[in-house]
Amino acid sequence: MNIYLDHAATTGLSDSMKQYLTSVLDLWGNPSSLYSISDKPRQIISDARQSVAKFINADPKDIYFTPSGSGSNTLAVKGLTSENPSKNHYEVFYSPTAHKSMLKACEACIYHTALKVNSAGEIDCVYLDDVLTRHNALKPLVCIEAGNSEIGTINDVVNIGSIVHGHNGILAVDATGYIPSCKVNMKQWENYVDLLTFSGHKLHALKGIGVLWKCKDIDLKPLIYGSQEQSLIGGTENVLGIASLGKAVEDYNYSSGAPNNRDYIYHYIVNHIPDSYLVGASIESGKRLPHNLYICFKGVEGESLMILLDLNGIQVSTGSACNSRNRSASATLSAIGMDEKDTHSCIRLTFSGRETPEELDYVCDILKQCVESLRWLNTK
Amino acid sequence: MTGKVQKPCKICGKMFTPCADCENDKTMFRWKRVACSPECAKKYFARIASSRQLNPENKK
Repeated sequence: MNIYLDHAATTGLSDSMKQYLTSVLDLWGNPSSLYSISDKPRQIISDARQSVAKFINADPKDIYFTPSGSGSNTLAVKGLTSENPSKNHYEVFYSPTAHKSMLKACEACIYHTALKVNSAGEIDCVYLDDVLTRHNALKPLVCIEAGNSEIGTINDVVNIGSIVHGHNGILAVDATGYIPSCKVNMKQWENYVDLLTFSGHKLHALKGIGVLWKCKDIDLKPLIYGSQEQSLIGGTENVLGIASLGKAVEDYNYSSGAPNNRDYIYHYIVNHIPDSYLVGASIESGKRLPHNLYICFKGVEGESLMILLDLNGIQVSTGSACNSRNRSASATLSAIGMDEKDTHSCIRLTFSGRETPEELDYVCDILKQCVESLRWLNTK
Repeated sequence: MTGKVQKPCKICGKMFTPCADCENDKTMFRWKRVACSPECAKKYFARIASSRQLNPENKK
């Protein structure tokens, strides 16, 4: 049996997607050219933009295709801030649990301040309000994630947006971890969010495509110079990637969004595998991504558990996907104040919601055996 | 690289440098103490699993 439980890292392509993309391969014209073989590629991009806009209930004119979710985050931050102190108008306040692309873009800004999070990873809104009140020399740019891909905690975007706008600031939200299992409706968020980003390959599209939604009042400097994407992201368009994203969001189904599979595994763990605990927002709080389970198994190395599970046909991750090869504890786990010893004893399981009961029982059984085996190895 | 400890992988024998954290942590098993790569680590785990099945005493 092979069970993939790392959907927060990436997702596969459906058979219909593969068939569709094969047909797109024949449409190789440059979308920027004016002759007939470019008509269809140009139409594909336009149609995909419409589909993505409909997916998040937004205006297609506010949708920009980027090379990746990381590219979108970088554009959102660097597009506003300047490296020249005399020309810089923003102070950046950022979630310390944000994705590395957002984190590093913010830390590279001249004026930047990390926000505080509680032990579940939620942004401390009292501190946010206080720090925005005290730091009022420059316009604030606040950068957060809607849902943390690693530990699964959901932030209160509306409340945070209210606070930020109350201080005449701009709110940038990375929705990459949130949007695969929680629908985004920009009509509900547009009064609170100014920039929204997400990644295509978490939504069953190809890798190498991301989206930035931008409020009309925001002017950004280009990420890559050129004429494409309203001159914000130059370079001949990734037609195949854009096509895959357009189709992916058309076909996207939130019906498997219920947390049943996550909860089934969670309850098995707490009842049958001792010395283990959930990291991030509690199941009962309703502030947890419905397909995310981030568990600490005390005394067990997360990487060893990941390898042993893979040996048994189950794929999970430790930390976020980008940090998997990096030995140090993730910034997120450090930010929530986790015991340093425990930071190396965690795995993340992210479900599709379509796992079968047999698969879930297999996961429970193997997980228990693997944890016991690794704890036994500690005694040798 | 002066002073970096090298040891042989228990599976393929290749000399590798385990991370200092792994070597110094005596509280739990760490795969990088015994194997040079995840592929070798899998083989190590497979051997352990097989050995535990052959000797039920090891499961206690």
